[in-house]
Amino acid sequence: MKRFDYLMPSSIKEAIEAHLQYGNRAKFISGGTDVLVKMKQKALDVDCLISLRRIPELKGIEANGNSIRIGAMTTFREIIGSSLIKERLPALWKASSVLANPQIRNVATIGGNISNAAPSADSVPPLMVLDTKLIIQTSNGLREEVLEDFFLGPGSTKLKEGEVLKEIVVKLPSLECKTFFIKIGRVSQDIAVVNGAIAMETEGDEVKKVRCVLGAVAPTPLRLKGVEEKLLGQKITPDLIKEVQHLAEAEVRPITDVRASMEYRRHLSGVIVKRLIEMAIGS
Amino acid sequence: MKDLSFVGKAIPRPDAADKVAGKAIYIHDLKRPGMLYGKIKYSDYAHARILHIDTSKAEKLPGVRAVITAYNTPEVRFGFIRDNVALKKGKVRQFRDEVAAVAAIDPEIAQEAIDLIKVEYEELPGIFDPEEAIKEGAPIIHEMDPRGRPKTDNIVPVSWRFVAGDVEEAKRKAKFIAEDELQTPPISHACLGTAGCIAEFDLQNNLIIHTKTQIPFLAQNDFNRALAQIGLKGKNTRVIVPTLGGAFGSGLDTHGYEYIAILLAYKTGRPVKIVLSREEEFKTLSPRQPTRTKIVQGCDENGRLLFREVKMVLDNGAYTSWGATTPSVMMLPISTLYRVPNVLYETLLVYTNNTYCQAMRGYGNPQATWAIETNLDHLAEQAGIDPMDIRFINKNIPNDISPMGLHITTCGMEECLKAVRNKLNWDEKRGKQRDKARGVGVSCLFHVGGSGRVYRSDGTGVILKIDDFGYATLVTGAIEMGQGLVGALIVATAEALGITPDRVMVVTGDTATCPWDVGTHASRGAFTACNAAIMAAEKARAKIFEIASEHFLNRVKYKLDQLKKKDPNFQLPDLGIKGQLQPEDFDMRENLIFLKSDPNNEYLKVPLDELVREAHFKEQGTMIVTEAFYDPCNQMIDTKTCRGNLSATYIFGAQGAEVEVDLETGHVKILKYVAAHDVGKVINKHTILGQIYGGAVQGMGFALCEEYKSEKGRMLNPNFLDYKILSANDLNFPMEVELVETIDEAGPFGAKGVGEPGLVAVAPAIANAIYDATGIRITSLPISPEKLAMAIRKKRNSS
Amino acid sequence: MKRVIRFVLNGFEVEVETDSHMMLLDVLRDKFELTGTKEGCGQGECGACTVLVDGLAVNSCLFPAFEVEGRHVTTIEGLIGEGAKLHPIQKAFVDAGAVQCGFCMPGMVMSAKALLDENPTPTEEEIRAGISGNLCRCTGYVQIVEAIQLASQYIQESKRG
Repeated sequence: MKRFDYLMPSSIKEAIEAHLQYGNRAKFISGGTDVLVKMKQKALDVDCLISLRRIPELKGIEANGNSIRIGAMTTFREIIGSSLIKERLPALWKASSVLANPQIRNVATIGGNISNAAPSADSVPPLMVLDTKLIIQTSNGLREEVLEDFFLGPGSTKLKEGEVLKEIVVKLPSLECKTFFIKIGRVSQDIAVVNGAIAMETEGDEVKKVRCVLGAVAPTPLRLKGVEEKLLGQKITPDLIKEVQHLAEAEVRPITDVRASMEYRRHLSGVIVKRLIEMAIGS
Repeated sequence: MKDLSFVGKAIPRPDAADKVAGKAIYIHDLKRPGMLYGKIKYSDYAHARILHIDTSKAEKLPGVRAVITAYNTPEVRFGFIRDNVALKKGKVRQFRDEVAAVAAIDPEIAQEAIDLIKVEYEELPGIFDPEEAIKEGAPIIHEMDPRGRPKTDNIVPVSWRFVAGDVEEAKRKAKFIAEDELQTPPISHACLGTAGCIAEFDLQNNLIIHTKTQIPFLAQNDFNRALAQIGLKGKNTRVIVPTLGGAFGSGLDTHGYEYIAILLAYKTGRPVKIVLSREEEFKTLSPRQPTRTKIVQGCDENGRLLFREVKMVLDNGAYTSWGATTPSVMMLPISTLYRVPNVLYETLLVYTNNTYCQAMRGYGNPQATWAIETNLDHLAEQAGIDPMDIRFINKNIPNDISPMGLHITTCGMEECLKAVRNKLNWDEKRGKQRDKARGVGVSCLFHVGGSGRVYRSDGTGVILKIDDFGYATLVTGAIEMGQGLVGALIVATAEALGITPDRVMVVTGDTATCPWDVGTHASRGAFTACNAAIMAAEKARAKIFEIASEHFLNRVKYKLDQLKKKDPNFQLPDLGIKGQLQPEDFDMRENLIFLKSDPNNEYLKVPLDELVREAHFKEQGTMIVTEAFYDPCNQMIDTKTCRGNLSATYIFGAQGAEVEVDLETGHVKILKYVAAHDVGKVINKHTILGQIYGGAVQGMGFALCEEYKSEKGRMLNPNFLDYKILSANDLNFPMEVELVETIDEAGPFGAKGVGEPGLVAVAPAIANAIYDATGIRITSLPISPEKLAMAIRKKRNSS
Repeated sequence: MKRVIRFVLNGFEVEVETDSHMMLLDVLRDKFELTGTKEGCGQGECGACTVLVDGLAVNSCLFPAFEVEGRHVTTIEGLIGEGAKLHPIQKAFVDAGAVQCGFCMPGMVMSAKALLDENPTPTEEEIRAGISGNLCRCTGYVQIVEAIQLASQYIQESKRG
């Protein structure tokens, strides 16, 4: 591996100052399971890694009125161990438990997963189907970004140089809102070939609210607005599900890569949307 | 067979404790004083002329001790048709071609130096499909053959053709015929411990090389040839094999990186270590031979197989290694799996700019069985016969000679098929669960079980040494690569000798001190080494009993005298021995020598160690060291007629799967897997199960998810992220193993070799089950979820 | 940049100077010559480099050396007791016939330890999930799962008596 400096600031302020000194020759590192792999593959070339591991303000999971606050440096292990998240954000809980493998989950963080901005990031669809915002610490104070608008392309976000993703704030879904997550890989432990989440609320038989997000089918995690529009106000029938399945296939923009072909991803998009709807009404 | 104390039991292997303690030393852990680290620069193109190599900057980098290319080192030519060289000159023919190498004081500096080497190329058009490579106008990959004669095509001068009976005639007579085209991709060995070596010279210019190999003596020969090429003719090589982190056939060849390490060691005068990174392991180590097969089989109205015609086009890659000889093994199932009187097998091997291939567990058998067994199910369907029944109808039988001249002695195929039929509840399930997308499938297998004479010698030597403490050391040139050879050897040696397995120490892996062995291939390790151990043990027993005839009674009387001294009231027993004892009066079990005529008499037992010391510590003493060289009763295959009894015995088996298919995503869930194997005799229960489970799971990877992907010669998935091998989480289903013991007299205690068979039948068993579940026959491996889902979708859309 | 890091290694307080771009795996193997922990892939996919940091199983190939400052690290060498006594988990692997080439074993045993420390009587499914980050090419995992079940038994027994 190429040589780099490794700094371990103990406060966000220190971290930001360090980053501003190095400019784009530095990068923040949380669990390291993405950044270090990229460094080894020479897909990332920086002179300094600034660790966020020892900054207490970035940790913690707590309920805050009608939202849950998750510190960016919360590991997936901590998320899985949180009964609060298991109960109130079950789709995120599910995504966390199928991400990578136990060793990775012990150090990888939700902030890292989001900032890495892979189109296949598992934590993103479950967050994006709810009202989620990101609190970002800058040298001038805090600012907010809506998760849904945060991604610019594969590996690219609205996070600027010298900014630290501080926490993720998720508005708690109502108790009537059903959320589910599905991940399809080639084998049980894999980067998602396609993943997806749904948040759906029905009143009687009709869909009152619905949001559906698929990952790994576009340059960024994709909200299927066409699918959502189709479902809104409707009674879920097998025919509607079939229609929506076709719509999903048409709405996504997947690519062919070493993991899967565009055609298979398109096909899976329809399957996942179908299954998410079935799970949402089944419960 | 006499009462066995240890054979058949689950005996912990002697190397297990060190391995779980992290104390075993693999090539990665080994350091030699003054060692340098070597790194290799690979080609930037699949096919190009080398115009210029600039190593000036690399040479100046502090810490670099040598930079070598083909232009400043003697040519080292290798490969079984000698068409490969260690460092490439003039031309590169594949991305993994070695163009330069560096030795430096640490691996980071070595890598930095590699990056500083600049190579100028003139790119040439590449050819990546064997069927394209034989067309007129295709770029020529080797313009000269290894002897320097001009070459104007891409056909490899190695071909295989087997003919038995008259296939054309049989085609006319057959009532039912099925034809298929099937493919298998290259497969990476994916050993957890990557390949590597440390090469060094002593002050007489003999080479000592610690290396990952399964063929230390053949490697010694290869390296001696290399020494001759670098000007050291007559010098010798000592090959030392450290603990291996898996091999699966990747150690049956000598590799470019080994010759490069030797060149670097020679140039610097220091030990040079080269260890492949995981990426290099995937990209630069030869994978399993891919195949494209056209198969036709036909049967009569009763389902009796009349003919089998198999034609293969094999992508040989840029150089020739054992991949090119896989047809010599594929010939075995093609000619002999099931009783088929008329067989035609033809291959065409073609050079391309893809990677070249080497041996991998099964050595072609998995690829051939994939074609035969998938097509057989197709034929069964044509004939309206249940696939299980058609296999019973055509099953191999004991004491038969196949069209290839293979002498089948014991044969447990019928028992194996029965086991699969019963354990899968075949009759209740086959053809009855399509509504649930569930199905059952079966495949048989047949492989060498008594080694395979692929070289002129098929021998394994051992030396057995009994020390003064009653411990036996079994020294052999056979190699432990994880498969459990040592586990089998301690049992066989202990049993044959009459001591306990905890007192057997196995020493392997050093050409200077271990007796010759041709190599650990063809599932031969336990078969030959245990047979040799038994021979050596019998000689040792003869010596021990010879000594006993002289010293046994002395020891007995001495001990009785001691007892009497301790307790004057002790009554000296009447031993009932008249006259001189003879060697044949004795037996030995569990470290004790006793009289056959009075085996339970506690006074008439002498521990082995006492007897050895008695014989050793005196004037004109003697030691107990015996040797044996076991070379099985088998033959090399005649290369013209492709006939010969390649193995001393053959192993049969049947495997079956019950699967459930997710028709939307294409994922195949195995509900139950059954592996029934005719193993002759179980020597060590732990190691035999390990080989079958392990082989079966590699087979599942072959069937469902493994694929070396490349595009225009460039490997696309050189990491575990995208070259998927199965994890524990993928395998949560019962795997039942049935061990059928046919007790073959050629084998040690009746045992046959089982290293490879576990893998051979898996892919067709699973594919046949998928067919039962979905009505879809996938003919190319792997049957990935994508492939299956899209095939299901296509079928649904067209109907 | 160089730095002296201080941490507890297999129960002993240690300190060592290391470079900022080094991973824990390099420090263990090169500085401490604890070669039990292996590099299988360098990318966190195979688990051969698994060690425990503060009781959690991590891939040491992706764990920056500086980050062990002040932490407790346990490697495979840390499981051997006095008198070269195998830890019950190690003994179980030997007794169950789970060891073949052995390269994955140190990492596998450490993951098993982390699993059993947290969940002393896991189901088969939990075992398989717990070692899902440890690849083995030799065994097919069957005897490894049996070994972990046996290890659980051994540990329960030793607690009782």
